[in-house]
Amino acid sequence: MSTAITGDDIDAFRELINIGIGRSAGMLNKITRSHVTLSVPEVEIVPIDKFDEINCVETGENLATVSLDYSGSFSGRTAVVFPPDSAAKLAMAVTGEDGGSPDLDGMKVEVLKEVGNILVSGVMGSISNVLKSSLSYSIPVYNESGFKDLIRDCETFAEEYVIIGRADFTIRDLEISGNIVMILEMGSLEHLLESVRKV
Amino acid sequence: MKNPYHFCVLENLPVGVCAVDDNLVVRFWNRRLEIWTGLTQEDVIGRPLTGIFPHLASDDVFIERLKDSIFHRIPQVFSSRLGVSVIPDENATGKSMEQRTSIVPYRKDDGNDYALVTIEDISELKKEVEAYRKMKDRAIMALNEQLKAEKDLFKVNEEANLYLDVMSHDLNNYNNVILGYASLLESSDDETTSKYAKGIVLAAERSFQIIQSVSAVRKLKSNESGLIPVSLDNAVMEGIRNYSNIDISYAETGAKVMADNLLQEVFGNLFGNSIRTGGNDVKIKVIVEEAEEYLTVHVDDNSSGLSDEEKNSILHCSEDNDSTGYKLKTTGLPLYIVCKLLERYGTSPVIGGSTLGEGKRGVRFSFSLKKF
Repeated sequence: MSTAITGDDIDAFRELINIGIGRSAGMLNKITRSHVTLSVPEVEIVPIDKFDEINCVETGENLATVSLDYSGSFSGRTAVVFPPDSAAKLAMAVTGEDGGSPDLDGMKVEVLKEVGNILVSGVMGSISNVLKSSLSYSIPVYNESGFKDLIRDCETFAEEYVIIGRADFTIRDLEISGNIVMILEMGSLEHLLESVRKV
Repeated sequence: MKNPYHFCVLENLPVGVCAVDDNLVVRFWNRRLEIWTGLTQEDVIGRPLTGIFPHLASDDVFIERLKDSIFHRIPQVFSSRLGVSVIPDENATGKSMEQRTSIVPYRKDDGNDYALVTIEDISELKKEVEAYRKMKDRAIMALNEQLKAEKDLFKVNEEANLYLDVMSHDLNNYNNVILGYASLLESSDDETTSKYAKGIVLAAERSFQIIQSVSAVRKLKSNESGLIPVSLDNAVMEGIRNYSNIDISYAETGAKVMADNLLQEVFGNLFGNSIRTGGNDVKIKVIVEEAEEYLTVHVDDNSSGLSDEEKNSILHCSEDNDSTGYKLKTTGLPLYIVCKLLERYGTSPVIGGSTLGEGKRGVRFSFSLKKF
């Protein structure tokens, strides 16, 4: 990449993601009638080959992910990623289900897909609003896999950078962690940085 | 108004599909929606979606996400648990319907943006998931009960083992006292007293054997670890040590065999069996022969031998059937233990003619052990 990533760039992304998840939290509050709070995310921008060195991401192989691919003035994939127990807890908390087994059945997956969709839409809506970019999206896809699979699956993007935002949810006194990950196509980060610096 | 031609491909899909424009006015309404709502294309096309379904007008999140789909072109999915039901419960079919809704953006060639709202009836799926959840809950409950039963059983076993330890220890103490006094009486000048004392010593020694055998059975059941290299000499000598007053000969080999730390019980019980059938004057000899990867071990004695029933039971002792009680009764505890241990070492005993017996007297137990 020709230009180095500065602290201001990270702050700008944090702000964009924060606006997005703030809006998502508002929506989740309304539809779940629970007090959903989302922490200000920690944001890191890392080259794909350094991805293993990041501490804040979950390392399991069975992560619950909801992802949306997009293309336009910048392209890539944005996903929300939860560890399996967090995912089940989240699904149960937002539906007000008590107890039951912690595994993810069809109905819980459906709920998780909607929550993931709201979060990703919030973040991407915020980014495309501020950057005045129009993107085309795929429909949200739910998967259970590891982070590496998530990246490997979008090899066609010839990606080089990953933006990771870690946010913590609190729903009905339950603390649930999740990651918001943007895997960007080659050249997309430069374009994004340019646009962010103009804002 | 009729459905526009360019949406006609969606007309007969098995899911409900409608298209709304950027003013949220319905521009397409498919056949499935007509069935579910009882509203025809003519009834709805050109009317705002919120006019057709007034409950949506007050659902800010639905409207916001619908607009996100049209203006930001971001697809939206609504689960049946969280999202609003687009078609109200009191629909034309008269049945309550679990709905999953997806909204995808659609831009027409003329540049106009639409949202395609797709509604699926997932009532059957929900029923299946609920049945699966119930089934899983029952399975978990049964598993928990089983775990609790196993835990209780373990506790009971531990308690029984403790009683067995205490009882064995106390009985052995009394046996020692009996043996001590009886040994003193054995050296009495009075022949009758000495004869009776010998009987008492023999009975006390058998009592020791029984306690040892019961303890061996317990170890047999609780110690299921794999085979390890063990010293054959140590196992034989340990067995001999328990019968220091009996004439047992053995030439040490220095060999190691694949067995476990219960191998000494094989010898202890074989020696005990010889004493049972031959009395305290019995002679025993342990012979070891090399046979390629194995060592063949013979335990010979000059006892009165075994009954046909005992021989038959030992011959079939490795067969896996439910006749444990029968085997125990016919072979006695010591030989039962020998059979079970040898089975664990991948072998079984063979009965033959002894080198020590004269005439029909004497018995030979042979078995092979894998060399280390």
